[in-house]
Amino acid sequence: MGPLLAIIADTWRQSRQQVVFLIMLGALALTVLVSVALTHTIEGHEPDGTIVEKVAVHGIDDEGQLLTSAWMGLYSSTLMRELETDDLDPFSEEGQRMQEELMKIAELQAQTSAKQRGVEVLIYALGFAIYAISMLLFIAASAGYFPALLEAGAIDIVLAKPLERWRIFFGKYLGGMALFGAALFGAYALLFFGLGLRTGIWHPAIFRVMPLQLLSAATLFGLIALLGVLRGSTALAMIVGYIGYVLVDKIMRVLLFVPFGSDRWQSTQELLRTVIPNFAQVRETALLSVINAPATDWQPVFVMLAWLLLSLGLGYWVFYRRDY
Amino acid sequence: MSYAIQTINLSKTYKGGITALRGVDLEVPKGCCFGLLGPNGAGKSTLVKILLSIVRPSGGTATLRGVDIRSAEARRRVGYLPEGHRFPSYLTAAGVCRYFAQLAGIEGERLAREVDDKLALVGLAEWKDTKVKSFSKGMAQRVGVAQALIGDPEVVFLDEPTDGVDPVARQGLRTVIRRATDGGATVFINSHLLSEIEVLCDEVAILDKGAVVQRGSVSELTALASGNKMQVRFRTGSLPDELWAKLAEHKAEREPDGWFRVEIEDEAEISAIIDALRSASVLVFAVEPRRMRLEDAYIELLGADRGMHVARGGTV
Repeated sequence: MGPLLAIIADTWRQSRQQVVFLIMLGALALTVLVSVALTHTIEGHEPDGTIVEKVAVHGIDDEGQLLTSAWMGLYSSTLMRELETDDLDPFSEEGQRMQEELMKIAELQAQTSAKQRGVEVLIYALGFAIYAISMLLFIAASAGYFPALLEAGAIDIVLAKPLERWRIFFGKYLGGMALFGAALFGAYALLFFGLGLRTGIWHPAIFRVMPLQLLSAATLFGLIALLGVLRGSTALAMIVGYIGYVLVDKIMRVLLFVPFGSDRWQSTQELLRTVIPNFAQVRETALLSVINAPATDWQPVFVMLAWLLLSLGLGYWVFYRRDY
Repeated sequence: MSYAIQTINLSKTYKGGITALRGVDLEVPKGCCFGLLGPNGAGKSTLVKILLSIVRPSGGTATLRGVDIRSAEARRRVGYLPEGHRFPSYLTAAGVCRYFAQLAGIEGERLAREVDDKLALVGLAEWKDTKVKSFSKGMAQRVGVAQALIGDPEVVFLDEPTDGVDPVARQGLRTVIRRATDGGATVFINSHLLSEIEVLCDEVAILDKGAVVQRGSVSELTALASGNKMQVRFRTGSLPDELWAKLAEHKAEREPDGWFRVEIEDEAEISAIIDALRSASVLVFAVEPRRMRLEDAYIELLGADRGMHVARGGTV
């Protein structure tokens, strides 16, 4: 096993010690297993009287009606995200295009079986739960990785080994990401097989959530690593991680509704929305990609990518320059 | 001549303007046991950390095994035990050795063999599967020495290697260190325990205020500190006050168990002192020369005034 793998393996041992990572694994497994156990197929009547197979969830949507009908709303929302104005003139060119798109969705709905639609909505909902649980607990688990590595008396022996500093920094970073990626893949694979066995629909689009979620986690972990290297504080890294993930989007939304009036403030708001990574937006894009992949909103993805590169570059630079 | 360690005009000024090293020139020959001495804050740890690229120098150059320290290759086959090390609490003794050995690129069967051998060497073979968090300070220190020796390094840096180790284990560690140098390794020791340096090291350097103020073998340093003076110890019956006052010209100092010691410049003075004792009817039980210890030489060379009262023959 090479030095890089040794660092990754050590990150795993550190995670087991911290317990939070194990809680994350347990919570993910429990969420998926309970949800899959509650899911089953039923036969239901369509408005025209035909009998179709649907997906239902015990105690939540026993008739499968909610899951089936929510599909149209979710699919349409991917179109609405592309609109630049809330006040669309139905006779304008864009309005006409939108109507055509909605017609296509209606056709698509007719072509897609009720069971398939139900499964896709279920994946969206469970994907949301997996996303939220994994991200929130990953922040707590990963906040201590770098501060523990850099603890006085612990880092000395590592730095004295014949390893360039970039290997140590990125080894630790990749170690954290590899564990998170493995946990995430495990959760989505469990969901894929669980729903496949329970409903007969084997929907590989489940895994489309992963790339963007990994990008979000990588960016958050990049910021956490930067703070860990800068300040060596687990608590600070955790707090900033939560603020970045949970609060930034909320603050941005509130700012949009504040009637400041001045053009300069409006431009500042726009600028902030453009340059600050919006984890909620990327999450929404990732989850909706299960239902309508082409509707990916790339702007927040690129912003996130830029922040990932920036935080990792800066984190490494600080680690490279610092005396320990 | 190629050296295991060489520094040329090495300097370090930390942020905030604290100067830790001021142009240190040092050569450590291959295969020797080298001791670095100096008061707290002299720059000893900074020097070692610079050599291992844990701290970056502000100026000067240095090589390890003939390789520029800026290259990671310089740290290949180099072992290190830092002072106040903190091993991950979730690792066992074998886990600590295995992890750091893997970082050094040691793999496969050799890894397993090295871990077992080195833990046995420091007397921890039976404890290899015990987590280090349950170890005493002395045991953790022995694990530290074991991990530093894995891979049979060419250069080993040991910062306070016997700190917290009980006397028996300390003796064992000395044997381990001697065995490493016998095997051709260069051992570089930072220690406050001068008696340790005295029995282990072939060469010694004294660092003070960031500069090397003296260097040489232990005997060279003690000779330098003592000049042409020597000390002699006497064990006698009780001494009358007038005789004690007379001995004061020889800087006489009392020691426990009826001993006192004097400083002389000529061996013939011993007879004169014995004559004086006999003429005062004082029984003389024993007379022995007292070799100057490294600790005395160290205090002599650095000066006693370090902000603390330092008495001759011991620190207070």
